[in-house]
Amino acid sequence: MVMVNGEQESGVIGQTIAEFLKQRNAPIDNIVVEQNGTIVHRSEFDTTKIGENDKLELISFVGGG
Amino acid sequence: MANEKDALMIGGHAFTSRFILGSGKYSYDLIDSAINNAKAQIITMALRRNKTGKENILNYIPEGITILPNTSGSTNAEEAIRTARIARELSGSDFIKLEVVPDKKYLMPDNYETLKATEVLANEGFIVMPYMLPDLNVAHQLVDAGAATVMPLGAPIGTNKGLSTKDLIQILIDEIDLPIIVDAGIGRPSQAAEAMEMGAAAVMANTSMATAGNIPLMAEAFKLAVEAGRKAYLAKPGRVIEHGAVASSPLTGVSAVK
Repeated sequence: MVMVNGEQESGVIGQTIAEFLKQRNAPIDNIVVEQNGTIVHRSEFDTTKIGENDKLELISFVGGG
Repeated sequence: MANEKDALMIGGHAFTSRFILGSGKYSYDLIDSAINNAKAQIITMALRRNKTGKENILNYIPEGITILPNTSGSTNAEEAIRTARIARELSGSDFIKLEVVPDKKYLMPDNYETLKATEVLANEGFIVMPYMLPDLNVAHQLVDAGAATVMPLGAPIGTNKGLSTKDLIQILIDEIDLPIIVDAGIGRPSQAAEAMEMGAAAVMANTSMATAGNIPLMAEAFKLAVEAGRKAYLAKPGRVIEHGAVASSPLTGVSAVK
């Protein structure tokens, strides 16, 4: 079971991070991906695949003080 | 001009503006005019889980503005360090406004956890700007840990109460050899001017802007106040007479009827 931002997500196992983000229309310039607690660098988006039981965190800048 | 020589230095970077703008709690559409009117060069941002479809704040930030990510939401050193690393991945810069706030009611920073995180992040090359409850001893320890600035709170976050901790901030200004940047609680330009007049190196404000009736106009008011306060500080304000009075006009030569 893949968890994305704390919620279950199906049909993404085997996708690369790049494919996964494209599917979600995520803003590439404003997104950091953590896979099981480790940052996936942008240069690795094309080669890093989503595995079974992965925990992904997608984090962006928002307004804040 | 005085301003060119009077740069604010943070981690080896020079800034001519001494007003740091927050970007929370108001429309991204107003960021550009707020930055322009405030003549701000640094804007803070937070990091949160990405929700697809939400607007991308980076599209609203003018070229050349330094992004100062914060670690808000962190309740201990470990969480703050993780957030800082994520921030660096995203911003590509080493600036981090370190906030460790376990307390949900008053949003008081945890100085001890802040100190621990400062040490780790400074060793990793971050330009650490720790938010703290003004305490001289902790401020000395933050210096030793490698902080680039010290950011004491004027009053609890978001209150617009002003310089409730004025005396404690003055001690930091007098004793700490790093830029002292007053961070939270500044709600009025007059309070910002007072902090600058005391010798604060810069002032940061967010809620005062977000809760103002006219955000761009308030941004301009803060710019003027921060500049006025800085000039007053450099001009060395005159002494205060606690009792009695001292005439400003000559006491002799007064014309009399008789």
